[in-house]
Amino acid sequence: MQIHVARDSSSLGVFSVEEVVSGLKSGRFLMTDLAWREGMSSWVMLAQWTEFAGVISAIPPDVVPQSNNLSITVPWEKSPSLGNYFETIKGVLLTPYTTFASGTFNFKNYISFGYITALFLIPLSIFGQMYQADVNQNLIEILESINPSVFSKFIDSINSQPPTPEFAAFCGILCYAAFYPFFIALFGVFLWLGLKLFRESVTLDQTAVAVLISTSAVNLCSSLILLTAPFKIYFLLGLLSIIPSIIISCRATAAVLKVSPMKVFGVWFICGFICCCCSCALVALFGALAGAAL
Amino acid sequence: MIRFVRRPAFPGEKNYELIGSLVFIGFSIFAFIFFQLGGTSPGCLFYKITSIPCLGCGATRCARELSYLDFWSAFKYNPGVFIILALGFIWTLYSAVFWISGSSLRLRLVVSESARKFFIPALFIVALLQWLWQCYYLR
Repeated sequence: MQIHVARDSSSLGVFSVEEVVSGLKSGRFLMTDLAWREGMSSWVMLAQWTEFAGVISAIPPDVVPQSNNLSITVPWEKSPSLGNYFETIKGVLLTPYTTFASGTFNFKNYISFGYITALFLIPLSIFGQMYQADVNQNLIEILESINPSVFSKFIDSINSQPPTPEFAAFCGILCYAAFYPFFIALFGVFLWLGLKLFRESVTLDQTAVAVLISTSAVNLCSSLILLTAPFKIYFLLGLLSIIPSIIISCRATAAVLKVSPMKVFGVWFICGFICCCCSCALVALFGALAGAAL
Repeated sequence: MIRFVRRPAFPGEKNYELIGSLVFIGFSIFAFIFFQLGGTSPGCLFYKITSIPCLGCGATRCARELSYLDFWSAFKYNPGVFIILALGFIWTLYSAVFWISGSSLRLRLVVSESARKFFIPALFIVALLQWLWQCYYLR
């Protein structure tokens, strides 16, 4: 009969008795893991299962999962302060694998981390809004200077868009800041779904935190581009920053989740593309609703 | 092997019955109000640039037709989104039965290791079929 195993509020899957026995011996499963099989009324720790009593007593003391022994390496988790916030951001950019070697990665602990990022983003975004307000017109100028005939349809569609009222743009920035950690966590859900498809055993909490940390660092650095002018330089820097941003983001996410960065990139590329289409549509729907209401 | 089991929730397990049904009901109310107000989406940027539909193309039109209860048109616009929304509806119905009956056993899908090997290729094939349909119907 198949046994369902769970740890730390997430399911590890369904296994046969033999798989659980070998898992206990190898350290894949812990004695404290909860298990259930059909016919039982509640979940019981593996240590209390009579079938595994012999196995548990035979486990040598050195087969203890590493996660129980390591101390926390993430500066933000040691003590949530502004100094440790920047230490964590520095870790994302320079040494993600040593910085995120061990941590609890509980999303609740990182909400304030996200809000600190949002606080830094507000003035930069407002500055960008004030000096780069007519983004559409600037973009049209650049596209026309490249090849007007190729981009004619795209230029026409931009021209047909009504200009965004200034107060709506400022409200948008404030709303974005107010929901920043949760908005970013939404993309964590997409990544989590994608990694699940690739049979990676990552938790939703951990994935949301990974995306929040990596996005915070990338947003913080790339938002400095908003300070540049004229628009052509801003546009060029924006384009140039795409590849380093992807590399930094994938490395940091992979370091937190303990998976391959290429796999993270693959999931973003395949699943992210599909999900982004849906989420962009959702955001557009909200925007259109706000527009209709106004 | 893929099958459903009914089991009690383990400590700390997310309440998928509540989350799923709230998301579905919230989305339905939002979509209904949105389309009654005559709202539309700005259109797919990918389609504008390449003239090829993406997998999300037709999703807004699918939701709009659903809000008018025109199921066949909704299915034709985006079969994938239609199936996801249909599954959301079934899950919400199940959640209602679960809460009303006061049962402690929750319905969960169990996918064996051998079945998972076929899952990703199957997903790609389904996505490809949908995309081919969209290329035919939406262009």
